[in-house]
Amino acid sequence: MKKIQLLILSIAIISTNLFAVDVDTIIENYDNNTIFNTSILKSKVIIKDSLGTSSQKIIAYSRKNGDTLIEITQGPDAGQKVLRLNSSIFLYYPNANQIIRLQGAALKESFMGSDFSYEDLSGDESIKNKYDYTIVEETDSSYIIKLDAKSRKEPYQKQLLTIDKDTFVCIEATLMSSSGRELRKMKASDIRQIGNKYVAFDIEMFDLLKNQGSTKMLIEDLDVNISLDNELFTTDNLSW
Amino acid sequence: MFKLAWKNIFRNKRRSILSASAIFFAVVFVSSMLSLYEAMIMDMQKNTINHQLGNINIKTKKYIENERILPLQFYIENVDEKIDIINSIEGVEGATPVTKLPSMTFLGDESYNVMIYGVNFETSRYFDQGIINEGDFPKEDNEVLISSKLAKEMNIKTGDLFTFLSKTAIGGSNALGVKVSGIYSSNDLDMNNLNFFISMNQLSKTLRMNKGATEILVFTDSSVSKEVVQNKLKDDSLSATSWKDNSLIGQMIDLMKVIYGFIQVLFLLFASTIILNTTMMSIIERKREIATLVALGYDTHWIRKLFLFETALLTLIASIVGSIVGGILISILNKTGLDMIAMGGESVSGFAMNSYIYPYLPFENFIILICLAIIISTVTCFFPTRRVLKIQPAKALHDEI
Repeated sequence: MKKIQLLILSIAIISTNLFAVDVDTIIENYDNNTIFNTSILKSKVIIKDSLGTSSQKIIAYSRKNGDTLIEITQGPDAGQKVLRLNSSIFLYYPNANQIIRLQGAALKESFMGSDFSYEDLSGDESIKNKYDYTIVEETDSSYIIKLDAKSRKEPYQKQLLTIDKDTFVCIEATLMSSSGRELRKMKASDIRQIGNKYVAFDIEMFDLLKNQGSTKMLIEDLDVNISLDNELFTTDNLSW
Repeated sequence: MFKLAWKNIFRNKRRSILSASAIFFAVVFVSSMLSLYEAMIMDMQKNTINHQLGNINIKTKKYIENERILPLQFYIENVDEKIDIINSIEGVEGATPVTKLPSMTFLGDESYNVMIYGVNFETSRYFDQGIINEGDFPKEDNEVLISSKLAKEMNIKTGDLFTFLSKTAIGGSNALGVKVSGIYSSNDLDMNNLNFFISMNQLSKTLRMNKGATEILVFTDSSVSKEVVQNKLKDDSLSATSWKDNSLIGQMIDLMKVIYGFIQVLFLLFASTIILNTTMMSIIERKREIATLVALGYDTHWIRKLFLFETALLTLIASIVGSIVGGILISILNKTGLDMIAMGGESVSGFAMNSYIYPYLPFENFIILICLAIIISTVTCFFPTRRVLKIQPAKALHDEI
């Protein structure tokens, strides 16, 4: 009897492992969706807070190592540019005397008055390199993954991601401090296929420390893996 | 009684000098302290009105409700029109628009936290106590006047360029390159912080405020109340408040008057304890004399009045001399000024105090001080002089023998 029970248990374990998706695969597929060799993204950013709503349009150029150039193309701040190179942010304002470099604590400042900080702008998106991860829960439609930062340099030391089972797009994320305090929440929808990847075209970020308001980014156009001039990602180019 | 009292004062010179000295020093000290207080209070009041709030301060109600987050979007619109309306009120001496907010300046790789003031250079009173050390007031829109402290911190001079970055009224941010037109110093400690001044129009444009301002400072004589200004503006979105309601200093001033009055009385009371002692000693020593006067038919109440009159006369002389000396001391300090920074005054930045204080005391304060000294010392001597009423001539003369 004992032998039969052992056999049934072994078969159950083996078959479970045969059909389950392991967490490494989930994260790999998730990273695969978020990392492009290059991309040009056009979107509308709508900022809502307790005192009103404002919107502007941006165009963002990115390359695989996380370098990003964002230009505000429409709205009261049109002409302003933000360049992220490694861990520095460079700001260009048409009426300023110089390119402004932000470092350290200044990176936590709000981008365009939105609920995104400068730190949130692109960077190397690979979760695998930056976080340890475990599956916390699995539902019919999604995986809930808990992330713990490997380095204290990460702005969000802990994260809880809800990853869609079909597309491996993160549809909800809670971003936390090292003590587990919730700092921001992100919700994504309108998932579309671009080549062999899936991208959410409607992303809403909530700053939980501010209580009210949110920032919605509606992607209007996305081109990926196109040729981009390296000159775009230089401070000299900012003032052109 | 006067002749007798005058004679009696000089009978025991040592005792009289002792009593008079106490009053003299108390009066010198109190008058000096009062002069310092008067000067400080006047400066704080003037600086609060001219540099912070105006006699009457106007902001939008929504700005006031959210003031802690500096909601630039709730600026006052059509500022020029509103200022014209305010200036038409009788008793108004002037009105000026202001926008002030914290920002960052950049010079090369260095950044600095500063306070920007967007002002109308012609109508504002920020520079009533200042001097331009170098350069001049801005003539172009992209020129700025910076504090000497900021110039030192950034190591810049007239003609140099830098950039400032600030949030805007629409929630984003904007930066502007500016040129230093001049460097100023102010006697107001708060104006000597890391500040710079730029034209209202240029700041409003940079912050996307459509020629608006976050507040209007109204300068008035005492006949104009906030209600008068509020009613004249006829705009429910605006709120006019008095500087006293808005300012901790305004609320403190009345309290400080009470405290200083109390301190004044306390010092004179302490000085009067010396007179009390000398009066008691005098009565004991002159027991025979008092007994003789009573035996001769003088009323004890009259004799008591004589002692009180002696006290009053001595106090009058001492307080007049003390007032003269105090007045001379105050005049000297009024010319030289007191360096508050050297005395650690920089630690009271935020209280609208001046770096140099010029003490003064109106003449009537000396009169009040003299009267107060006489009253306090005379009242203090009321109780020891009761002994006079109890003297029995026969017993007193017998004891003396």
